[in-house]
Amino acid sequence: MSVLSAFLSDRVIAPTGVAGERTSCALSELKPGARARIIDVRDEVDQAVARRLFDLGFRPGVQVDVVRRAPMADPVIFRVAGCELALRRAQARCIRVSLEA
Amino acid sequence: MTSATGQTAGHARQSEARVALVGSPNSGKTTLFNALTGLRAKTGNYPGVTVSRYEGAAEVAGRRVVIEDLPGSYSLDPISPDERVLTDVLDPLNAGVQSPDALLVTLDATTMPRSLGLLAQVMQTDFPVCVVLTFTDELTRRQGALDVAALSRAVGVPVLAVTGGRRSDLVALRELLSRPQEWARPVVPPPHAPMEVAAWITSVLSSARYELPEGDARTRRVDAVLLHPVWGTLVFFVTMFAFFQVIFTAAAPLQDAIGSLFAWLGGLANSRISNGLLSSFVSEALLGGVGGVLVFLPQIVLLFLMINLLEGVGYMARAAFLMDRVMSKAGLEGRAFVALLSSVACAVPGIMATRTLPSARDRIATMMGAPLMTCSARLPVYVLLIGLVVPSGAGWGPISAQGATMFGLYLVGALSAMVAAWVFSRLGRSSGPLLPFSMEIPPYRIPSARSVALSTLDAARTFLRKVGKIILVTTIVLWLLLNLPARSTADLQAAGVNPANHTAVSAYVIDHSFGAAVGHAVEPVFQPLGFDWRINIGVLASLSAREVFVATLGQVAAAETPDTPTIALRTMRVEEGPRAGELLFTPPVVAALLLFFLYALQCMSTIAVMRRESGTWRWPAIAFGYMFVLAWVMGLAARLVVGAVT
Amino acid sequence: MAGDLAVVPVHPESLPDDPRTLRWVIPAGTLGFVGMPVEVPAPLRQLLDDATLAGLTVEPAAVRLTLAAGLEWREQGVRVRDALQAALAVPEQWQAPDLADATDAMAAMAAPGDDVLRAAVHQVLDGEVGDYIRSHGGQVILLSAHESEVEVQLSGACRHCPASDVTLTERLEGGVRALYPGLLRLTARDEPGPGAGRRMLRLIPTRGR
Repeated sequence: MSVLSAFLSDRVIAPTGVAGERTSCALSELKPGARARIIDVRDEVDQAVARRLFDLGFRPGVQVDVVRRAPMADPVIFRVAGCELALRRAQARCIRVSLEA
Repeated sequence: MTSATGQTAGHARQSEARVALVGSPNSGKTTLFNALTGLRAKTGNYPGVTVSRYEGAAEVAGRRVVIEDLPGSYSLDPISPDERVLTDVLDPLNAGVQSPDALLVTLDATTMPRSLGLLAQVMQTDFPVCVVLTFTDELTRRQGALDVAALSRAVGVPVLAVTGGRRSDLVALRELLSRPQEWARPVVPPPHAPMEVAAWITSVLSSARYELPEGDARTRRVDAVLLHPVWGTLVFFVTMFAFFQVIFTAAAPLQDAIGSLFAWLGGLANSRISNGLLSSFVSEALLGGVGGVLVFLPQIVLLFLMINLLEGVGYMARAAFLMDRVMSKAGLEGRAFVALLSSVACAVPGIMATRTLPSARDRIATMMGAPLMTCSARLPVYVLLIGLVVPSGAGWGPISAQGATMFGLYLVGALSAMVAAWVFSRLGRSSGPLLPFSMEIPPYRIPSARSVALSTLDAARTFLRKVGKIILVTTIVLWLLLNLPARSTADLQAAGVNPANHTAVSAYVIDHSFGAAVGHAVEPVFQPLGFDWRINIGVLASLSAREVFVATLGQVAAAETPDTPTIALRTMRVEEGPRAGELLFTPPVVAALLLFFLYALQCMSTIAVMRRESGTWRWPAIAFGYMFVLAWVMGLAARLVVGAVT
Repeated sequence: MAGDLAVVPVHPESLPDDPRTLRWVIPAGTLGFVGMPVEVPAPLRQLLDDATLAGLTVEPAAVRLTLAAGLEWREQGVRVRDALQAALAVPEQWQAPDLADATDAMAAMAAPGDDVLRAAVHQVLDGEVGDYIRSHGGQVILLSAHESEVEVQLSGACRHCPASDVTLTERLEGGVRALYPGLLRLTARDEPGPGAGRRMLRLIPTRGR
């Protein structure tokens, strides 16, 4: 492994510490059409997954829209940072969001 | 860098600049690569991994620059072997792969907040970096905005907008490519701590007056149908059906034409070359081998034309999205569906189609399952064998017993393929890291005809160059095995064979060939399945292509028409051993043969293409091994079960 | 460590004619003053004290940092950025330059922020927008910048250019607002001359975020 990727794999995606706001929930709980703002990635999530979600644009403070679900409700397409990404529910469950109007 | 003038060609080659393309998937990286290198690209493999390596030369300002298209990735923090290749290449300390002299980073202008994250990581390396902004036209169309000059100032490296490989944009890029050592370097590289990177991205985008584009209205309208639970699924199956039809039926006349052409050439060779053995070598081994390679081309070209079109448009990601839930049961992702389906026509294009899978683990798992799908080459074998034991008239009402047996074989093949893929995917999971699943759903875009054509051409060319050689060698070796030692007229007369009777001569030659020796030698292995040395010759010959089994058995049995040897085979009797005198092709033996052909990897072309796509002999060896064991066990079980029933 | 604090967006831009100085671009309005601060937060203070930094000037939306002679940004960059980032997290600890000794007569009646606004207008007129005007043979002079309102005078080729109403003022206002988000209005006045009246332009309101 290169020095750089070793460096990057040391990154810590820490929870933001924003306490459970009244509207905070998991990204996987939202219905298509909902809009939310990302709070953080849950503490118990594997760091490799957390770092990848961060690199994919799921960063704290970023707005995310639920676009649509696949026929059997999994995976789900989200719109984040200008692009549409499908995540399986297992991953979407790791992302804590606050609902927006 | 030193001037190339006055140096020898060898030195000039050494001083060639290497520029690597880095970018996330769907960032227009490969389109740019094709636009820069065109037909001069060549495909290889990175050492020891199932990751294709694309490299090509570009002519810039009278100099040759080698361009390398690195695997697409969202991050330099690797989670898959493909991404590890990228970080290895970007690691100057890694002696295993050659590092480039400079990097071109393609950034999709419509997804800048994410793309800049990758750029920030790439700028941590010491390479000179130049940014190529793609899809700026789409950004404007979707009401977004970006000031290219301001972006360049903010990131501290040259930034150039290149739209869909447009020539005028490329002129400026080529100009830059000719002198990478003069590119502006950032005085302070971007931060790497997550929240600081996020802040850096915000700051850079604000300076570049970036406006995030609106969602693509066109894409939203099309997706309302194509990703609809009912209509979308319907469209998916119609698309796949069309897909299958094209590789199965549309390719057939072309394949027949190639077959006829080589038959005609063979006839020509036969009539021109007087030496019998030589003429037979040229017409059967050489021309037969070349024809056996070329016959795959129509399928490969058609399949890749469709895959590249669907991929370029953006439908493949959607098909994967729709099929994800189903395929995840087999431990695979949606895209593997196309590869498995194509394998019903032929495993060769099917295995080549695995290159569209983003993860190496999925590619291997799919490759290991794909050859079990019932390919069209098994069809003549099945028809012959089923015809031997199942009466053509038998059946239940409108359902014919022959058709039902055939259907059962297809079904068992498909199920076995899924199970095999699931097993290999499981095995791969225990050794590799857990991949968080994510799939980008790009907006619908019109693919560049050039890119589609080049990728298709590349698939065909790699097949001919890398796979063709192996198929040709196999054909020649098998021909030699089955036709040597050569028999003179005196030999034949001494053995009581009439030299004028072609059928008798060819039967005598093959029955006393080196191949027959091999057939005798492996008899203990196949004896439990009820195969004798003559069936073994057929099994051996079928390694060049399964359908050869039919004609070879015909030749061995001295059938008048070797291509339809049913009658001759029905009367074949066991020569020696406890069953001596009994009919050879009894229902238990035929059942064993059917299952043997269902499971065994009796196809050197598949082995060769697996070697090419996986980059090592390891995977084809594993595949051949596990399938042989499976085929043997299943064959034995079938013989015992059918033997007990009848 | 930066997890619970919002990190101030910042990135450096180099100046073509001065390799020792970097403009660290920050969001407009972060500090609320321009010029050389009297005091800066401890992390930056330390770099000034240990002679890593030779100069520090605040612009409307940037901090100009000049390295001491003999030092390289390539080596000091990360350290300086960390210090700046820490300092920007506590904007209240930056002490604005004293305006009392300003000789400008306007200074007496200046409202807080006027100096930032003035600097913003000058920066826009010195930059791309100014270049554009000059390349078309026009001239713009700042008449006043007070309480978030700006008045400029157009002269030269601008006067009769039909584009001056919309394009020019739009670009001017957009540029100033990027550096001074509180801008209320920008008024363009023709050069006083026979028959030239005063034109007031209500310009596009700020785009909602």
